[in-house]
Amino acid sequence: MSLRELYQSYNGLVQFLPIYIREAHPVDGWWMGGGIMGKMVKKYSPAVAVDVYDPLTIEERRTVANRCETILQYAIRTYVDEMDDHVSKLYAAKPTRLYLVGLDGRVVYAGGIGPYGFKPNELKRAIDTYLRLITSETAKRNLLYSD
Amino acid sequence: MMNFITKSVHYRNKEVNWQKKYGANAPEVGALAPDFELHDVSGKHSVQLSDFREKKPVALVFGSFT
Repeated sequence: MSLRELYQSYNGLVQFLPIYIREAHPVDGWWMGGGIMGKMVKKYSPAVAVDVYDPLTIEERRTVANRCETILQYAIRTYVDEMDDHVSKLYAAKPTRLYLVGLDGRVVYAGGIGPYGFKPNELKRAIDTYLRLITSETAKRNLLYSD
Repeated sequence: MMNFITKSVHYRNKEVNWQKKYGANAPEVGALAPDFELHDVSGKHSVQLSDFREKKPVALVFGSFT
């Protein structure tokens, strides 16, 4: 399942917060846009950009995040980590990572580190399990109060 | 080709060290998710994780464009 399908399936039930963090493979860093790697990226991940430099200011970061948001068209507002990478560090989120936070503010699912540990299907299973749990808890509470 | 491999090893080691440094304190299942406030791409709208407490579960999707 893709992220887009996940957003569409659970929109309204779950609040999705896409958070743009420091670039993983900018032109002036660990660039994947050249040679054979570049061809593979273009073939297998056409939505991934290969022409982005690591933003140096928050305005540059917002501009790249905006481009990313526009091209991917998830129709969900993207939030941008600050230049000190504060949130990315709190969640060890680089290069990509997924979490699910429950109603009580506790972590329900902590995905692995991307790209290999980035598994939207795992998140989907965690969402399904959690939604079933809170639905049954609500039903139990309603039963208790109806007595 | 050699340059690409050398660069890849350099950046991979850098990323591994970053993960060692921050991964140790990343929240695990059952832990309280660290609160934060961030702005959107326009800089005009902000969100705070704790705003959703007792209202909706939240999926955090971290990533970049490359």
